[in-house]
Amino acid sequence: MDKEFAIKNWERINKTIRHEEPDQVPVFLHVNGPFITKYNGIDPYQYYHDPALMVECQLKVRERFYNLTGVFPDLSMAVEPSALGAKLKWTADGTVWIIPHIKTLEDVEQLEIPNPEAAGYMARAIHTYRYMRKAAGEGVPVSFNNVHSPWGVAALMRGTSQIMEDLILQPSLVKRLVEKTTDTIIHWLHKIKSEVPQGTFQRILVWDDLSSFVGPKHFREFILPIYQKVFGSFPETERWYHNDANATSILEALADAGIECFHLGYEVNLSDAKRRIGDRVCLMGNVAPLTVLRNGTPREVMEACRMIIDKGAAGGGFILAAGGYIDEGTPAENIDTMIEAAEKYGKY
Amino acid sequence: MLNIMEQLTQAVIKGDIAHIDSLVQVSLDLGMSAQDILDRALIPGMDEVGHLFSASQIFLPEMMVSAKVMHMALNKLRPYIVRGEVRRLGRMAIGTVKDDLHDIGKNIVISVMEGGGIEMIDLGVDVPPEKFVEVLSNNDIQLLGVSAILTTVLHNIENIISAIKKAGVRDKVKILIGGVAVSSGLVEKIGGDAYCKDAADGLRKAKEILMTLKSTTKD
Repeated sequence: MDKEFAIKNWERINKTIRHEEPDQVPVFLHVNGPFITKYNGIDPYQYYHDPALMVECQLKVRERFYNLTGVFPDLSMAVEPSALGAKLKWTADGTVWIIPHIKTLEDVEQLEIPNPEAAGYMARAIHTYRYMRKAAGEGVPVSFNNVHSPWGVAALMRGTSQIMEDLILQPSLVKRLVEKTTDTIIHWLHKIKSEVPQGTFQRILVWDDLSSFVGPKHFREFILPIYQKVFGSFPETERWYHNDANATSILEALADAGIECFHLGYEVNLSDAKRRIGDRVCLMGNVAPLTVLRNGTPREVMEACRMIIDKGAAGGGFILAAGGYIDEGTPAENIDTMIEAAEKYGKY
Repeated sequence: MLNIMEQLTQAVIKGDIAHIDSLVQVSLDLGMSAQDILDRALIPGMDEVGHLFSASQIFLPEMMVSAKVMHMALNKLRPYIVRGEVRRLGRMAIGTVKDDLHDIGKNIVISVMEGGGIEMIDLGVDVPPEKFVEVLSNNDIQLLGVSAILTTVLHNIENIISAIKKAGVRDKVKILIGGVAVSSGLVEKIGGDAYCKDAADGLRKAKEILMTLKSTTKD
């Protein structure tokens, strides 16, 4: 692989986000704890709790995959809910679960915007970021721009099925809860902005899979205002959005939320998404992480990528990536194949 | 003007929490049997909810509220069910495997299965193998549903099947397995009985199994 590939790839991504046509379809490798720990053969719990181990493991993945993966504080779903008082459960395989703790409107009213320096895994994220910047080495950028969506955080703290019911039966509780989580996320993003070197807070990436389970009506009433408020608080910052559940029903609403780059799942019909919002939003993803990228042969990966590029690439505005995070145990050859597919079939 | 059965069906479809209890009571007062209320009003209501959900005409919030209405109606009919005056197509226990706390998929399956006339026992999330064994040992259950979304917990499905075999109750139940992390190949490999691509596929397979079991029993 050309040593300059990662740099060229970022140039292509930047053009793509601006809806300009690059020389070829760029790729993006979304990796996080499950893939990184399996690749390195280490215990996930240790990885999440030892900044030295985290940076070491991420650097190994980055080196293997041509500098296409990032170095970043990776604390799974723990950060925002723990800062708002949620209890966590870490399982033996290193997955963290949020134990829902919001039972009543009174519980919501008692929530206070946390001080990030002292609150749960927010404080740990700051500490980890500071450590990583020192440890990552010269010329290795450390990203600090990922947050969970206020809607997702609210759902985790209330219970995902429960909050769906609440949208109809207790709408005032939901509205008050997302007000609190939205203010928390905005405060958290301001803190992150103050931590990173001046002028480098260029992008926000919001994780939110749970919006896909509500229809457009509830999305527009309860969730769209969240994004308008969060993104409106950082008008100069690029707006990336991750949602790998089936977001077919809310595509236009997502575009109305001001998202610039949408990391979408494999269940969304890419041609349909391109037709409906491709002129407003750069689309990224769509390669099935489990059935194709993890379990497929390199030949199957190549063919799937070819078809996806066929649907997504026309006119620019498309980045090839897994339709979700790259799953633990995904063979490196398959990831290489996805990168090759962008070069082979993605030329403009 | 809708008759009482149609009103009940609509109450389930519309998620009418406020009126379901009184509608069931009126139906009983009018002399409807609990079996008729279930078969002719409530199940068709949940069945329609499942269709609307599959067609993206309603979404999870609406489905969750309809499921709640269905449960309220079933609670009202509980005395008749306890007395054995209500028959269901079959009984299924379902849970999310240990170390997996996702509940949305499981809850969708419960709603769709109830719409298909199958009695559901919800074991919850993060369910250890011994709890699956316990419920099978103490209840007349024909179907067991297991779901997993994370690849990291797939081994826990195998643990459940091993525990069920060890407890000597494997023959009394058919095991249906679903969830994003699951594939048909995996189900075959670990000794499950049916792979369910989604809730509708699960209902189809559950009904096929129950029909086969019934015909086998008759023979």
